[in-house]
Amino acid sequence: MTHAEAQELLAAVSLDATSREERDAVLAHIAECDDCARELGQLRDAAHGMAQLAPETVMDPARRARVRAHLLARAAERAQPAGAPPSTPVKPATISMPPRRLTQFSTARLVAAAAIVLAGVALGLWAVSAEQRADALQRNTQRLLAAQRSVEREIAARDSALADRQALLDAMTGAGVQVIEAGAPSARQPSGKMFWDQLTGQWTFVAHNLPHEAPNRTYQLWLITRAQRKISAGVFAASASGDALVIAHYSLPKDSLAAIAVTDEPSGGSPQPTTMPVLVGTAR
Amino acid sequence: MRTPTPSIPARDHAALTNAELVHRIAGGDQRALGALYDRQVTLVHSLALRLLGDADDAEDVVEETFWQVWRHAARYNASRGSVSTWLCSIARSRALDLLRAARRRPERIATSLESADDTALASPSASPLGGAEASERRALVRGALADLPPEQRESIELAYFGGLSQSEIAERTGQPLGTIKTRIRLAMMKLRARLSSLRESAT
Repeated sequence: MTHAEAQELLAAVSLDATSREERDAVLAHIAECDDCARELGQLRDAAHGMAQLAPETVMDPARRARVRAHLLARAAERAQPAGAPPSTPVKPATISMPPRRLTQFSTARLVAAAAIVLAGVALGLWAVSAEQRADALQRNTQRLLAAQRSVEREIAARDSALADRQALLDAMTGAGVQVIEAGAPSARQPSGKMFWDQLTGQWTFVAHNLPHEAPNRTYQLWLITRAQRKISAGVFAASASGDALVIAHYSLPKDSLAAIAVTDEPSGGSPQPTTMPVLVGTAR
Repeated sequence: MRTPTPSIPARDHAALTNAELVHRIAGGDQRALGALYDRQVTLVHSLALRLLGDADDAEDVVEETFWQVWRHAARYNASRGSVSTWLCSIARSRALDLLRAARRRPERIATSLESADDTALASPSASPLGGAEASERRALVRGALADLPPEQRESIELAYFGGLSQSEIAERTGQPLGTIKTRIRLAMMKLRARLSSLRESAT
């Protein structure tokens, strides 16, 4: 591949939008061309600058802590394959986690530890030779540790679900929550309620009786400011029973909301509403 | 092979740049990994969720992204892009693998690009950067994209967020492949020129 040909493809490579053959050819050229390597680096920075446009979605604390703990536990297990000690070792159990979670994990570990002890006693009575006893103990320990990990995973999943529900409850019942009702004048009336937690900027929208959207169409939720700015709060699909739940985060000054609305838009959503609202609600 | 690095107090990690944290991670510093996670998890998670539209899948991508950082920190080359770029590159690659494997596309786009204009979409508690800095960067990117002709912007958004190749974009938009290639090239050149300041600030 010539330098000019590579230059033509650098932008597409930065977006991973070429064929594999084109990409390999460009990368082979880059290995020998500092100018193209530098330019591709800059283009990749620009491309991934677009990640800034992804709506900022903060992981819920339980999920975030679980991933962090698991990640660091894996890192501790795989630390220093060449035998070098990690410079600042981290004990997975000391990673900051919600207190409730620590308690439950501790309980699980106690139960597992007790089971290991009991298994050890039983094995002592059963095993004939010290070697057999050691082998059997190791196998049982591994089995019990696997069971413990399984219990921990289940507890973590339940904790996460519980945290999700609690967060939802907080967002709908907090002291700073404003409720905006949205309705429509049709036979089997769709209805919706927006819970705006002004302290956290969380918007929780619950809707019922929404007709099933047509193929290649989607519902889109809008926040309409007093300055008539229409801000998309996300696109969503109704369930088979016509229900929907949308959660979005958006900081909006306290008195700037005029209304909320739901419109029917092309799949993927629209920059601005293109149809009459299916639901509309005025903020008081 | 990791090269051990001298131990430093955990609080001092906060003063390190992202690139310095990666350097320490390459030396086996687990606290540096935790510090980088704390600093960048929202960026990675937001991108993963935007691409996948599923919280569980996004969680997997987040963990795998930082796991790759732990395993391959020594390969990071600052001259080829910022740490944020590297993280986004890993996360996007993982997310697109998942998308392609599952033969599905994200159905939920939390907020369209045009509408999120001047107010930061943010939970104030856990911004990966300072809230003001994050808003500034976001505004810079939005401004740069807003200045592109719509057809150029569409092409690079389909590539970046949809994971589509130039050929697939041509097919989807009904435009000749050559036209799409030109749009992408022009758009990225303009974007690079406008966002050059991100490169310095994000390293």
